Amino acid sequence: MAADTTTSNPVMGNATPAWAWLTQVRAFSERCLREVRNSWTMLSIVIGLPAGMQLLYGQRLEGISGEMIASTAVGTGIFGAMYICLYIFGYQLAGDLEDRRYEAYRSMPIFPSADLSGRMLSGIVLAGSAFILTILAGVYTGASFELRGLMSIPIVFLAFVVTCVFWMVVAMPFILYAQNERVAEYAVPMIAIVGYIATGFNGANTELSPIDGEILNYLPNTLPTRLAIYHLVPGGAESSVLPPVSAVGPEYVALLVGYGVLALAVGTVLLTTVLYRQGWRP
Amino acid sequence: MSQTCIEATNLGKSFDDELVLDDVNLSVRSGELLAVMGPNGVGKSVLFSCLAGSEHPTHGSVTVFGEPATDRSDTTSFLLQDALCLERLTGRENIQFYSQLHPMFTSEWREYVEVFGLTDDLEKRVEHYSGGMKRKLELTITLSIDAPIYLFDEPTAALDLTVIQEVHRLLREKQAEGKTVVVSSHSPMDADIADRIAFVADGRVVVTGEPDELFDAVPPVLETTVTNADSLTRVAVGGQLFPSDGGVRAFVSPDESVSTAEMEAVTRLEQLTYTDLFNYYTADLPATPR
Repeated sequence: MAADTTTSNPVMGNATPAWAWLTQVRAFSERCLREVRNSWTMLSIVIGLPAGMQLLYGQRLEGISGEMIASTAVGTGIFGAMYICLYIFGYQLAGDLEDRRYEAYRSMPIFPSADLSGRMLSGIVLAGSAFILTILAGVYTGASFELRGLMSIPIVFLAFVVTCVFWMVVAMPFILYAQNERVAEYAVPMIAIVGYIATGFNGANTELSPIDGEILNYLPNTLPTRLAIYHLVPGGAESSVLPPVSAVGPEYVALLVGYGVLALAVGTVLLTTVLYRQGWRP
Repeated sequence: MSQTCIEATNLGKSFDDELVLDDVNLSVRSGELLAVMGPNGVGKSVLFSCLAGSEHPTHGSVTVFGEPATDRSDTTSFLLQDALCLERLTGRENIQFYSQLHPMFTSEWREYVEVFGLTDDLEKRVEHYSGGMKRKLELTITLSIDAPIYLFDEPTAALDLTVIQEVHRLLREKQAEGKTVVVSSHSPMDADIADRIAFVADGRVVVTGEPDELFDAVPPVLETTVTNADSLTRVAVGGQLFPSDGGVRAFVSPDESVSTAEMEAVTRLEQLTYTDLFNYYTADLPATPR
């Protein structure tokens, strides 16, 4: 007997492509969040690592101004976001590769862009939680935050989202090359640590950085940090926390958007061509 | 005559210059239950990945309903050994993930978890499942997807006899619904449910046919005890013996069969098994007059 292959929509059944895409985004996102909830290691990194670091610094920063503590908290919060994005995004992607799960995914009608969006959405949620906890830890240790203006909210949000997206994509080439959970767990997050230390808490405390000058306003880890400090710690920008002159102009926001667009483009191409082997279709 | 739904033509697949499949030709007919049999490591899983559209052929082609398999992702439900389950999620969370992921996922999973006795274990994390439980969960996921073609790579591995019979019943049920079912296995038990069998050896499909045709083409089989094995080796095709329950077996040419009929402690078998079929088509034996 010949099988009837006719359905109302040959690829998506009764679901519209848009609905199927959204459902798949949700699938990847919820799956990633559940995996973190079920793993003490991952959960303790999200909850404890950057916030714990801030508490530790805070105790050692007696006699330091509230602006300086706040700047450090932002730098540490951005570090936490980078670490979490590199570690959790990379670890889960490596697990799928190591278990040959992409062979199964390729036999299913999955939108690669839904896969990437779902993973990134969960990464942003986790990194966002860690960032908020770090800011709260900063407040607990004496940090004083203040919004520079209403526009500060979208700019800080943009800076944070771009940070997450950028560093998740940075993890991808390493994971695709190594295809190994151990590399994802131990080696890839080192990028965040090296970046954090080499740039003086991501550009928050420039006197601790071996890198001097204007370049700290352009690096993908220091630019969003310094933008966020400018908007969340108005006193910090004026009180020599942020030499050189802070990244405040629209050109820096444009550069930030550029980093985000570049990361999304590279991430989409890598996932679509290397993992889903679909050429250039998203 | 049934139409063909999957067609592999001169299919070759290499990984890092290592040839895994070499000029495979295979037609799968719509609505049939085809068993792809072969020893471990002959390329069955890679063949299934190519049929499912998961792997691009290095040369040759695979078409599903007339289109390249890699261009269609709505036609197959594919059980790939040990690849579906997410260890850090519970059984229920795994099912939920795939139900959101695949637009054709159905609510039949409730029936399958019941049949496989997984209901009470759905809240446990899969990392705490046994190999058999993981396979049952993979089967639940694969069977719950409504697709015209089902590809099962070693669906009965790690399962006990009772569950294997249940899996066979479910595969027949899918076939009765008009679905095409392709099963890979190295267990002769799985051949029992097939309409046709394709044998794979050394990266090639060496023969495809209905069980009766394949049995008819097998030369006579003689059996003796292990202690009498030497006498059988002398007349065995290719000098090759195969272990059987408490003894050894060999294929012999029809002429040899007559001349050895009176050999001491040697029996000519009238009823061949799927194991004999498996041994004959997958072992590297010289051509035999049949």
